[in-house]
Amino acid sequence: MDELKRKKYLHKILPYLLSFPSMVIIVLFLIIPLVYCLYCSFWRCDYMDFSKFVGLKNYIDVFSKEATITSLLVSLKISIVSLVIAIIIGTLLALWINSANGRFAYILEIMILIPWVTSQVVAAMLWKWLLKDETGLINYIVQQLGHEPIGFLSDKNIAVVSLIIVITWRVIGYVMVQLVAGLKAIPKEYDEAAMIDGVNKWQMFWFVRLPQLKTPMAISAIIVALSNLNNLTVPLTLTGGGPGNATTVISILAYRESFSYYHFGEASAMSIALCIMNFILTVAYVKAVKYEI
Amino acid sequence: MRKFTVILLVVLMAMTAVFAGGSAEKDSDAVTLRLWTFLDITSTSNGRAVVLKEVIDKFEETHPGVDIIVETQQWTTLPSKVFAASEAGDCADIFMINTANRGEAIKRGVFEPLENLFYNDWTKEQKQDLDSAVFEAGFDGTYHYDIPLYFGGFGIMYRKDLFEQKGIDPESIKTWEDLAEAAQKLTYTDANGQKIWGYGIGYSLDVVDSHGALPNALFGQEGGMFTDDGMPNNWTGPIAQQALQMELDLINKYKVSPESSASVTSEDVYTDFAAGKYAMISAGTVRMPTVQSQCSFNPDYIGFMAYPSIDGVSESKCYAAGWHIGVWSGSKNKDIAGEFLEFICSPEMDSLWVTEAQQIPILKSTLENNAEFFEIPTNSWVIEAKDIIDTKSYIQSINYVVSGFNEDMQNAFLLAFVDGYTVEEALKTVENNFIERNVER
Repeated sequence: MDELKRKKYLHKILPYLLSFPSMVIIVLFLIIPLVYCLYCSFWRCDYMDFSKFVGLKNYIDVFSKEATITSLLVSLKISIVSLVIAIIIGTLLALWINSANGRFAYILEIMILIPWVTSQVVAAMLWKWLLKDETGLINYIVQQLGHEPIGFLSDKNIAVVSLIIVITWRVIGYVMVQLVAGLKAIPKEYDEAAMIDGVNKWQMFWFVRLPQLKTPMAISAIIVALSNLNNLTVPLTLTGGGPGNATTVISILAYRESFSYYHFGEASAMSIALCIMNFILTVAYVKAVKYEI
Repeated sequence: MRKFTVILLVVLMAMTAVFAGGSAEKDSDAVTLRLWTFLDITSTSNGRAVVLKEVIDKFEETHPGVDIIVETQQWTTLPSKVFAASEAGDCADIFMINTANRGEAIKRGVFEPLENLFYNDWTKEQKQDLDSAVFEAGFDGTYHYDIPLYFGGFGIMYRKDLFEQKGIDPESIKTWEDLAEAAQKLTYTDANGQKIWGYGIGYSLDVVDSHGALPNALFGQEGGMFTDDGMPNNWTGPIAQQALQMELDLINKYKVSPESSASVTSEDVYTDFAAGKYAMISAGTVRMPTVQSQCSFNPDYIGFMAYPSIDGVSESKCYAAGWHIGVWSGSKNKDIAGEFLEFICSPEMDSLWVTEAQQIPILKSTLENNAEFFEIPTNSWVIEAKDIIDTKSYIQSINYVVSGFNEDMQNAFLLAFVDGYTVEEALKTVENNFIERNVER
């Protein structure tokens, strides 16, 4: 009887025991810094000196600046455009790889996934060497073909496009793998039943497969949107926010506020606002696709 | 099985207690010092890192029981880490901080005064040997706090061979107008079809430096760049406008710099200069050894000169900056950390910094003691650079905060060049940004 009780008790506490190490890490490296950041955002905290409680002043100061609003819009524009392109191309690649067989499809799948697992600094540096105006490889080819070099990083309109391309290139592989996994999980009977009903390829995708892909697509979209919105490494390495402030995303602004001006209160306010924005976007997206966690 | 596990654990515990106790007893006099620097002392190619390691090894040899652990930090975040750690009571015993943050570190009591460590025991001659404008700029009226290391100024790095080919005498460049004309002669396409630009500078905000015509004209104007209370001094005046217009003209009118100057960093410019892409660049003296070691041409051909004047009348001054090494006021091993600081700036070690890492000497005597070294063409720039720092430089005051002013200077150019602001609007905008950030808080 005691043995049975012990087993029952163990069974009851096992989930807590198993999740305990992860919870410790989450609390130590996510929750505590987040709460500290929130606390910091209510203080004047230059050079990490909590000199004066200012309430919401940091938030008001930060969001009454035109530069903050502009950089927020730049962040949103880059994140959303990149997300849409990544989902479309990722879906097309996933459909193609799912239908293709053999080693080629397998190798291609790995190759497309490489950017996601490559260090962001390394990837951004490589792209920078490719896109540089004077000494970039692409402009070298352009010049060899008798054309003027293109300002991939120096023209304020083209630089935004360059940044979107690099950010999208990084995440396409992740979207594709998620969707390939989703497609593989669809029972073959669904396809067979649809074929008996006489659907064409488009109808098969739209009415049979896409509804089944809703969950992996939602997960990919959330991860990619958050990854893009919070990405500091790629914009900082590739364009440094320039030319001018054309690609200054909100994370670059927060970085400068912290490490160039040492205004940690304002930087924390920006980070908390970005965190809230992430949360709202995630909830909105989950609601939009009616995905239940 | 259970018995075996218990016995094993007991044995392990006993062994730990015995050996841990033995070790503690043996090393009761041992001192471990933590040193925060941006240098990676495992590097074999970075001269400064190699010498720092050598200095540490020598110090440890002469101080048995002292172990210096170097904790390499990312240079952009090192100052903020020093401030945060000092507030939290966990800073390294010895740390480096850049000139821009030296004053704030003094104000916040991060440094232990040198007078409390070794400086009061020094002879008059020793003090005179160390004395310099840079060292004295860190004196708050009562104490000195740091030893300036890796100090340098900004100016024009140029190719002597190309100047000679085009018949240009560097001495003849007195104004920015002269520089632009020389740069026009030096802008050409070589036999391999590669475009060589006369003058290079990087304005990307990813890396900010106090370089180009604007900051140097402001440093050199009457009253300097800042007033005595840290306010911008005449940032929108005629000198500033003329200087910013010159920065734009070098690209638009004289066509001696590429349009990509707006998007490249000074790091890119150093690399491209070493690759032979530029005849002149706006550069820091501190980068000279690296550029010399990487250049695709004879390093003896690299010269260094001061920035020219904007109008031929007003002076041009450069921003002199570097790193400052000091002892943390909260360190439990201040005395021994102070000994290390004293060791690092001893005549023997200063010679090492100069001869092996090509740094500008900390001590006056090092110049005299290493005369032969400076006669070598590759090293002659050190004398020119020291002269520029001693006579034509602005050294940041420790009395007020000027965070982000370098960025403001680059931003003024970007606002005018990229966003189409007028010169006056751009200068006004950055002046307001500076005041909002540093004064009206």
